[in-house]
Amino acid sequence: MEIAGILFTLAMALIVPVVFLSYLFVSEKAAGGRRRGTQTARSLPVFWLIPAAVVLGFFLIYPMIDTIVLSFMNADSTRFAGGENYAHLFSDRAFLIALRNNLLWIVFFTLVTVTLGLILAVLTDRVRYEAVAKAVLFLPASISLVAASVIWKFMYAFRPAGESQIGLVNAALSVVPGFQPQAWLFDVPFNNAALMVVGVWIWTGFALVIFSASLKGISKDLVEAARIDGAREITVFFRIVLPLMSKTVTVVVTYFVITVLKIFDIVYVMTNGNLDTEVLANRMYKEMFNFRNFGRASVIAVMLLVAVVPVVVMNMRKFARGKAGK
Amino acid sequence: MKKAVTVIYIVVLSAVVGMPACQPSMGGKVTVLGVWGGSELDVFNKITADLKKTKNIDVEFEATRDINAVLTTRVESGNPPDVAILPQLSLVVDFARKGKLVDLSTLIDVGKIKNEYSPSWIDLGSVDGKFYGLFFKTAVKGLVYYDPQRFKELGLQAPKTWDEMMRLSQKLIDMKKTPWAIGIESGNASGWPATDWIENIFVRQYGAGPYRRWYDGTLAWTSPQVKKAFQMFGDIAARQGWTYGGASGVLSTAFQEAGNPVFSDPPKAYLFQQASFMAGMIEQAFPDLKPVTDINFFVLPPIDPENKAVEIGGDVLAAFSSTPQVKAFLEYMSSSDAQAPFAATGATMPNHTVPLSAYGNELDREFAAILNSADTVVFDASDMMPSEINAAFWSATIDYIKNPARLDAILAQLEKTRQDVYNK
Repeated sequence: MEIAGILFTLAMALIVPVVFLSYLFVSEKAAGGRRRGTQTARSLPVFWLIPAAVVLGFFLIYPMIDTIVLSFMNADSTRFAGGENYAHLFSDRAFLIALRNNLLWIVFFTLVTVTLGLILAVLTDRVRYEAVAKAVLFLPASISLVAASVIWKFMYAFRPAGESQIGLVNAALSVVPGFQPQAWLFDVPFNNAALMVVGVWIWTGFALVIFSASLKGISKDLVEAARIDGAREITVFFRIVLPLMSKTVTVVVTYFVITVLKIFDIVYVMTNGNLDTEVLANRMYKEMFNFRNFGRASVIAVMLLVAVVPVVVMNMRKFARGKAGK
Repeated sequence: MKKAVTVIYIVVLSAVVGMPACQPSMGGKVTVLGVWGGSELDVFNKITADLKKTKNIDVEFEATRDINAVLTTRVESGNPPDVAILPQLSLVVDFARKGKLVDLSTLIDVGKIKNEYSPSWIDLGSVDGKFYGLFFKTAVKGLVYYDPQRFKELGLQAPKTWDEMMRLSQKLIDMKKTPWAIGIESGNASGWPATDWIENIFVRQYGAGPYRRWYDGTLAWTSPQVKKAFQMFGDIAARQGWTYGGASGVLSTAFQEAGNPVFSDPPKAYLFQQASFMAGMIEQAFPDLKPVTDINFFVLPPIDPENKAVEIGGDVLAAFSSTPQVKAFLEYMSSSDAQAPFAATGATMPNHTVPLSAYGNELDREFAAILNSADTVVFDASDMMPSEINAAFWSATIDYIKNPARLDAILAQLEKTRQDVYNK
């Protein structure tokens, strides 16, 4: 069995490139070579687009359309259900809470992570051990989300007062006189904040690295000139550095908004949405795989798609404008 | 180039075609999907090694903690395992009604099973009159573990009625001690130990008939019966000072370690309700405990003496294909030969020909005796409910312990889920 598997893999490793190369070769021939300006040469890009378009269509466009269709069908997709799924979800407490939490995540998580990332980028820029500091701050980003969530579950662990606290958060706080250990993940509404802290811990390093790169791109002359004109550091940052970094900030914010819309692992591992910590992606997973309700799961997927579209469009337009300006 | 590809093609083809030919007698394999790990899996591997020896059948076990999701995906994509070991009967019902499961009476020798299993197992494993679920490993639920030495020191006795148990708890409170250790954290199934509590209370109060209507979805969650069961649970679990660590402790303690405060030195609590499989886990955590003298149990006492059902949970085998290998595998699993090694791990086995001497210790033998002598056996109600209601029930117990005053709103929400699921 294993031998057959290995041989199959080897065969595929040979066949796939051969097929692609033959395709390129044949299309080139069919388009009549690369002579500029001829009718056939203009069709060459079309040939090159076809494989990508097929893959994109099959793995992205088709599932998207199918999901939209399924969202109007019943649980096992055997009957047309009209707007039932949509109507149900908007009267479903679990879904509404998930919707609210995703909004909270978008606002607070993005705000905190971007702000922290910016501050740290500026601060690390001014120290001699910059490389080390950045590496340390970036480390959490290299841990898988599930592992990070498991680690933080231990960080938040609760033991009744009087026992030795195995959770770092409670253990650290217990040096404060009169402190009672808290079950951080079970304390509405702080449990949502506790989950967001995990996200901030993971992604701040990522934001820092991107911002830091952008910061290095700003001409020192501008900053120097402002300083000579008597601008204070705060003014330099807000009037010169930040505006010059605005495009990077937009990209990072866009990335975080989309990341947070589909936030799943942290919630799934740490609370599974209990005590009002549910988020859309976790709800979708439950509807789909635990409750086998394809209709409702698809509605949530459609909602996520609808929520992502304006962010992506805004981002694209901003960049299109930027290009035109150059 | 062309030649090389042809050679590879021929080699692949001959490897694939040649494979079945090299194996003698029955041969073949059975793919099994389940939630087992650790010692359970070790024993399973040991007994399936025997099957390999006698019938030359390979059993390929795939483990997952999220069986509902994995199995659904595999079945929907037309790639189910041959056999699934399911901890929730509702999954058996669901897949059976969708026509995905094999009616076992058409595959295996049911006569033999009827001789060796009590009829309630066949009933529980049947859906609409057809036999789909073969019980393999079970656990008696609703047992209260305690340390007899501590009880003696404090002059306490195992209670015979629910009221006695409540008075015993109050007595401990009066002695400035915490009576109960409860922990309901269990990852994505958090809350299930609390649903066990409520189910045990329900069946002791109202009996097997209403219990069935409850999990069948014909009894409203807002009914006085369900509300009463929640409240009686809350009288213990959500009561100030009655549980170790209070609501925070109950919610954040993993069920596996929840009993530890009862057996730690000094004890931090005195009573701990869980299923029979817990005895083994406690004995593992405290290897010095001697069964019966240092750790013993009483069954959650009756509330209405008329209602004497025993609640159980367990793993059920369901078949998605009907090959001769699956037949051989299932017949072997139902036999005393396959079940006896599991009995030694602290599981309670449904085949009553498994000798009591196969069980690990005195407590395990008592669990088996309770099961073999029970008039009525009811299955864990939440695991009989559709998974959507089951999940909502788990979460609801968490909300309830956190905020008992919200009970009516919580039950109204559950009722909404019930109506929604049954009116689909």
